[in-house]
Amino acid sequence: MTTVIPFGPQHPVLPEPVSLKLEIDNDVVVGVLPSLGYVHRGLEKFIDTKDYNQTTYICERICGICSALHGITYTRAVEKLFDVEIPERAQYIRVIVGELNRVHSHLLWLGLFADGFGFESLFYECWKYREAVLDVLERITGNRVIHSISRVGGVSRDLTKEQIDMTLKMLDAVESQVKDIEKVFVNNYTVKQRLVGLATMSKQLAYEAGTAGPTLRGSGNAVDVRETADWDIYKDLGFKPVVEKDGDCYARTKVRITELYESIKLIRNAISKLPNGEVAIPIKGFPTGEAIMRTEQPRGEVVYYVKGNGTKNLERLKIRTPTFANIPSLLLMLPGVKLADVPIVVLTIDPCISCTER
Amino acid sequence: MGMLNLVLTNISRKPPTRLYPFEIREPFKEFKGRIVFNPENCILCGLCQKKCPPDAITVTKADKTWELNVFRCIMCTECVNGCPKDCISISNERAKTGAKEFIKVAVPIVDKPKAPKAETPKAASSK
Amino acid sequence: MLDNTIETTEIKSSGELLKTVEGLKSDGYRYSTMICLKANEGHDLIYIFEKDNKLKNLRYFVKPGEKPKSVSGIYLCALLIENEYQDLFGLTFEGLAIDYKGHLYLTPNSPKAPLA
Repeated sequence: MTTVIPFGPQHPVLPEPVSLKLEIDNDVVVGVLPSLGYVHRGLEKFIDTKDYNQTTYICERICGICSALHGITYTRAVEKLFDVEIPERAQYIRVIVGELNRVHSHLLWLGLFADGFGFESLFYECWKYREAVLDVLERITGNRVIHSISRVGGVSRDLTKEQIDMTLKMLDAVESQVKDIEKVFVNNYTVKQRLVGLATMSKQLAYEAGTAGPTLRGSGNAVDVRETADWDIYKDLGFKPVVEKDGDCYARTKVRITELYESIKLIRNAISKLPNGEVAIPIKGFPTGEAIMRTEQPRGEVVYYVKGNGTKNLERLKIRTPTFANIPSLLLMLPGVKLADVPIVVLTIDPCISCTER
Repeated sequence: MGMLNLVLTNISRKPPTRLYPFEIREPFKEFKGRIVFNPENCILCGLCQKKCPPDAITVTKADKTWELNVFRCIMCTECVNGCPKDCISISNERAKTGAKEFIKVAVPIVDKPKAPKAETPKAASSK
Repeated sequence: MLDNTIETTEIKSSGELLKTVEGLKSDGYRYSTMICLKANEGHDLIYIFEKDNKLKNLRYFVKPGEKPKSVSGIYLCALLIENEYQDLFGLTFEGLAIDYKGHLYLTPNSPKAPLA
């Protein structure tokens, strides 16, 4: 006999409201029904009232954690409509801010995850280290969380010598600190007992379920948008996707920790190759045509579709966020998992519900 | 003895947090704290109102006023970059909590090329 | 490299759509998303698939009043996006794996089909 237990909308491990109706048989989940709609804001409709420049700021406010990458993706999509190439220095600054964003997002997730399996002091450590990254982002962009750095045609602020030195100094510190917390996440007996072999998804299953980001790469699929033709710049920086083949919660955690090192390496390379020149070009006229732009966000691949019709407003903006792709994978991962492990499994897809519902 | 090491360092080191209301960190010089409007060169063109994403700025030509809704402003600095006369700047000073919702500034139009509006001192004094 | 058009393959009938999607699945394509647009009284659906960092787009025109077939039987992950368009565009997809009946995001007293 099965019992239905609601998980959420309010739950200690969930920063945002999502409700899962769990069918439980003897403490083991047999069925899941997600229900959304608690934070739907209708942002895709709202852009009707704003012009294409102002829409950048709406896109940045879809999500507080990956906001810089939302802005960067949107502006690049609109630049595709205009068929312009922005100055190289602006592209490098976007990469630096985007990767810093990934570092702080992954540290935030590691903290939340540690909190999720009851390791409070590890949670404090992660968030303490994240604070240094946020300080650097605040000094580069002027804002702590929603950076407003990218705009159509380039970036709004240039990097100064002082900011670069400060960033490099912070990266050295954060790299050694990440090594410290990596020891706990990867080697600690209790953590391993909790994570190894939990909610395993095979390579094939994760691929067919359309998952994105660390959820997909944790199952052995080397899919990363930073390798595509849209992001040539990452090739120059020596980017390699991070892949783990086990497909369980432990593998997904390891992907995120290794991605921290990868991001730190990318920022260092980007700073060493930072070209001189302009950071923005003026854009004239109104967008026409349609374009698809994809970016690798901390949570996975985001797809932007923009359509312009020659007026200052865009005709259609569609955003497929990574969590939107990862929620159906919960339907496949959760059955067979014990009720006490459900919070951990839900956290490993790094749910961002305000992204999902927009 | 990694554990002992950790305990000793944690006892001896300073806490990473601050006693917030008593000890306030200086804002960074790049921080976007609040919008500062200098009405001297303003020509009431209304570009800032047009560019403002959250519609926080209202420029009234008839009353010669420039108004900012502080509660709506999102610190994107579109107006700062868009102002043709560089009247709007950004200060790194934090805005105080519970500040007034509206900042209303009367604009004395000084160097308008034609249609001499000599009554500028009156507009300035009305502030 | 930057351009303002996307390459799409026109699909004429819903039977052909399901057959093409099944073919793509056996070819090892990953379902990315679907985009819905208003076009000529009806709706344009653009299905986006991904393989080896390349996109494949299918365009299917939904006539006014037509009920498009759901592909959630082939790719389970299509169910969320199809339910979203039931909410926002007022479409009805046939054969959805989980049908929220237009209440994925919206409640009974919210605006009906806001994007349509």
